[in-house]
Amino acid sequence: MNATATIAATQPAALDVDHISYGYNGHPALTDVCLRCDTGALFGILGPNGSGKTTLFRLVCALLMPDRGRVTVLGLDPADAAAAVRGKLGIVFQSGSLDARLTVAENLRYSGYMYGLWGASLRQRVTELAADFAFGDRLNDTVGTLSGGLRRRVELARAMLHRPPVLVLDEPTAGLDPEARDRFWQRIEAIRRRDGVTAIFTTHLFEEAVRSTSLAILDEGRVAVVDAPTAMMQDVAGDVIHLRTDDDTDVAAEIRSRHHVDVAVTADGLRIESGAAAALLVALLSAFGDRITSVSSGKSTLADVYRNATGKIFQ
Amino acid sequence: MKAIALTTLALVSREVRIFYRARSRVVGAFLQPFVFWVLIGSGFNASLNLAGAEGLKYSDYFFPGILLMVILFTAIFSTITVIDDRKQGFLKGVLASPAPRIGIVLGKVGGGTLLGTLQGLLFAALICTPLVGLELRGDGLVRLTVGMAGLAAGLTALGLLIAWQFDSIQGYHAIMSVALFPMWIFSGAVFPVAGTPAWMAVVMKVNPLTYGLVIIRDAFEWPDGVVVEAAGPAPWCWLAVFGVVAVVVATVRISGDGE
Repeated sequence: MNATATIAATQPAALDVDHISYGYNGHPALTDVCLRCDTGALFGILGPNGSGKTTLFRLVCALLMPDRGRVTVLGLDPADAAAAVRGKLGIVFQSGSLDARLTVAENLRYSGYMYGLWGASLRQRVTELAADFAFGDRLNDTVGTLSGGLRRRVELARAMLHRPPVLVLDEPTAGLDPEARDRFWQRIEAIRRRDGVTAIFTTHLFEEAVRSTSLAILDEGRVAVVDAPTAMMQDVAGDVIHLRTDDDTDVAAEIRSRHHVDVAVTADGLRIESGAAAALLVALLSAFGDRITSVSSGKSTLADVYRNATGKIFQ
Repeated sequence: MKAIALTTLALVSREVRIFYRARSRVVGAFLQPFVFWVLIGSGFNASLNLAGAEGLKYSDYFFPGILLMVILFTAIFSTITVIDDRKQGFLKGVLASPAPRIGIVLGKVGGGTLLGTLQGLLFAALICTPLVGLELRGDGLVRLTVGMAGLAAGLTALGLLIAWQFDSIQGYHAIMSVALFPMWIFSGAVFPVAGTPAWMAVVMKVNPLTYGLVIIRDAFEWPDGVVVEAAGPAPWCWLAVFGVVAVVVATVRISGDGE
């Protein structure tokens, strides 16, 4: 084994979640969750509301301790070294954590103190981040006067203040318009590339989840599937055909008997996965052309992955 | 130690900045006890003769009690913000940082102590006006400052401990009405211990604010014939025990909590 391989094998994961369970007053929020996020990854955690994303986020941030199992961040267990774990994390909360009554500079300065920074090095870091995140002209404005997008930038800068190796973001673009969301993710990508930071984020948006290098889909507190989003989508049997017909149940039964394929009847019509979608589509149009009112075909999406993994429609 | 000092510095500094930016809070902090003192003091001046303090104007007797109220209310308003901080998210940021929990408690207590003591001293400056017929003893200013600081520290730690239990300001208000405000009434601020029913005398004896008030009252010169309990070592010790226990219990409580 060469030296590089030895280092890779012994390097702890940025995040290792080992069979954790957590409940609120006996009601399970997470059940036997296992995840591993490698250093440098952009790791997404996708799930609908109530799937356990925020509970998992709190466990990772050492704000909660699991009822069962173990979470480690860069090999450190919060149960033994909570302060050390917290020092390794840069955290962006869904609802924000800036004090709206203080100025941007004051927020950053006080946050710096909490992470052990002070004096000239803290002043220099604040100046660097203000330039990097383009809010240098707003340092002396109170946070309450900032727009939502700018406030998120300051939140991200605050999380980066102590140069953490791992960023943890809980639905960080909640409340932002699509353009601001896109800019936010461009910044995250830039930080990852430049500083080699691992970023772990929760989301309920497919378009955000698909950006991740590795994705875990949560459903009712359990991990439904973990993989790279592209691999997940490829694992769905080829392309997806959506049909609307004059009688979905009747047409679905006929398609099943004639073509021996799985047909899902959904609120939006019929959904058929096929490795040979083009040929099947031609056959369906030929056989049911007079009963089909609309048709579309495309590559499978994370919505299809979610449906396959959980048997449910993502809501 | 550095981490504790920096956390404390951050939270004390934040507390002071927020206080002075909230103009209504600055004005209210002075006006509320002033109005209270004028109305109650004037109302009882003509009709009340206090046991052991015959011949003393009630408003003068009541003045140290109002200083105690300034400190109590500052502690309450300073710690009630914890509930808001939790809702707004600031507290999450603090708790998710590696800041030592003792630093968080000391920061909050330090802020409340600084503000309470400064407001108490500002209010005490009324003795320089004809409104108050009291003067400080030779070492009165030192006694008053240290005594008020000790009280403010203990009360802020107690307030923090209470605020930590609640998600709503209404819950805190309920405790304020049934526990904190009665503590002030049963401290001797409104009426002296002498002449009270036995059960009330017991309550007043175990109330830490009673000892704080003894220290504050003993900082002033009192007219001949007025009996005021001297602040020997016992009240100072009680006050120190109250402050230390409140800080330790608050730290233990907060350390056991993620959010």
